[in-house]
Amino acid sequence: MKGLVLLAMCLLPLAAAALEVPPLKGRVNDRASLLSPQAASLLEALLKAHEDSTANQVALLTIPSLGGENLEEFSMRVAEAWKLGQAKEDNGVLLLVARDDREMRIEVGGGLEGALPDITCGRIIRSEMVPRFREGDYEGGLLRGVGAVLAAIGGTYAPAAAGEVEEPEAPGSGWEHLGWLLLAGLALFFKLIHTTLFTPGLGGWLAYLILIPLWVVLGVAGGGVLGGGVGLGLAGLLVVGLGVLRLILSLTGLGRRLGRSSGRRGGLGPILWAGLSGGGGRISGGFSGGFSGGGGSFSGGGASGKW
Amino acid sequence: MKNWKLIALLGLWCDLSACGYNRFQVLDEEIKANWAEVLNQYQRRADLVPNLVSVVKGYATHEQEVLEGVARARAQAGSIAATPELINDEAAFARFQQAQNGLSSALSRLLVVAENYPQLKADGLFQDLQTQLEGTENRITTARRRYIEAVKEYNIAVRSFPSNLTAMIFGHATKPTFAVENEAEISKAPRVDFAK
Repeated sequence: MKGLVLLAMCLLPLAAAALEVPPLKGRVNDRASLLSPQAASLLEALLKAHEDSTANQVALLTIPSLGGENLEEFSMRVAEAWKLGQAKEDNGVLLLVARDDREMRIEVGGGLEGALPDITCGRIIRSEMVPRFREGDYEGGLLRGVGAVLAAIGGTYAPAAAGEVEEPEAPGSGWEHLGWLLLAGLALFFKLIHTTLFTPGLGGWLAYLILIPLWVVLGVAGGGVLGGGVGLGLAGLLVVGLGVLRLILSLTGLGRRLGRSSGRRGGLGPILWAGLSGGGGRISGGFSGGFSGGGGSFSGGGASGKW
Repeated sequence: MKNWKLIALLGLWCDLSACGYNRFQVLDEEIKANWAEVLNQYQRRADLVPNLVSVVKGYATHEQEVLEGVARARAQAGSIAATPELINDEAAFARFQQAQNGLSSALSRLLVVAENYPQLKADGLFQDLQTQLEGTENRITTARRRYIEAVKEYNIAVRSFPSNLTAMIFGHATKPTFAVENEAEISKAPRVDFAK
């Protein structure tokens, strides 16, 4: 009997031991059910597009509770287990929200600490996420937070001036908070056009062909705002126009010259192009299912916040 | 005669690899790299202090004592040369740790004091510095944990048979690691509750 009690006492600390790291199910791991299915799949698609174009792995984890564990320690354990980011580049980001503890953290991999310094993470938390979380608008806060992180990596995030916290809009559908997401999406769009037009040789044509469905969808969606028939016209214009433009550019050799200089030119275009590009016109490897960390490591960068 | 020499050489080579001579080199390098990261992060923290102090000074004019405490602790931490050789000298390692702990507690006092000044807490520069300080403390914690893990593996190799014989021959001594009583004290990173 005594032995049993002793054994139980030995096992107690094990039972009380740290929270288990949840399995990596995808880029969006909403275990605390803070997102609607639409928002979750939107974020998933956005993060996937971001990874396809830049190789950065950004993932989101929401949990109901930390179970008494320190936020930073848990976040680091998750980051080390998931290994977000590519092995040599350490370009992973983890957004962690603990619902009942009312705590959140942006954990940044070593390779992205330059683009996403602690200060920027702190500002994203303070001015994009916390105000909305306080209103109970988790979805809006997460959409804004993820959008701001992607924009910051691309160099297009302009936080509210230090100390001045933006007033949240009235809580509503959550779709009003899509400003940053739109910007990130726009940047991706320009990036894809850029890749299609300026990738020399067969690669560019391949990109053009693969992306035809996207041009159609974008054209129809864009036209949808203006009215039915316009959509199809716009889609056709995009498909044919891009093809013709690409042909002209490759025949005249103008494309190579323009493509090389576009990186150095000032103005809005390059900024948008650079928006989501980590260099190189990488659009491959995006069509396989499943998601797993690429072996990136973390050294504790990022910021935490409470609401 | 020639064969005999060859066999002896072969034997020596086997001995070296079996008893972990190469493994000691690998582990030793790993410890050095991890220790360099610890030093790097402590240095980063020390670099943040002057800015933090000058911002706090602007608002909390009546807190001379705390501010001076931070300046003193930083000077003390800076007076111990943070060199890679510290890990081979147990006494110097302890002194270095003590000085860094002093700075840790002085900084957390400073942040506690800052809680009493709403204007200071709302200052954007202060918030940014605070975020950076928290980030650095977090990196220190991570770097220390990785150093501890690397040293653990090395020390086990130094003590266990048969690699302890190699360690004895080549003079590999166990390396100091962070003591438990410090651990509890400084793994508490100073932090501020923005909700208040």
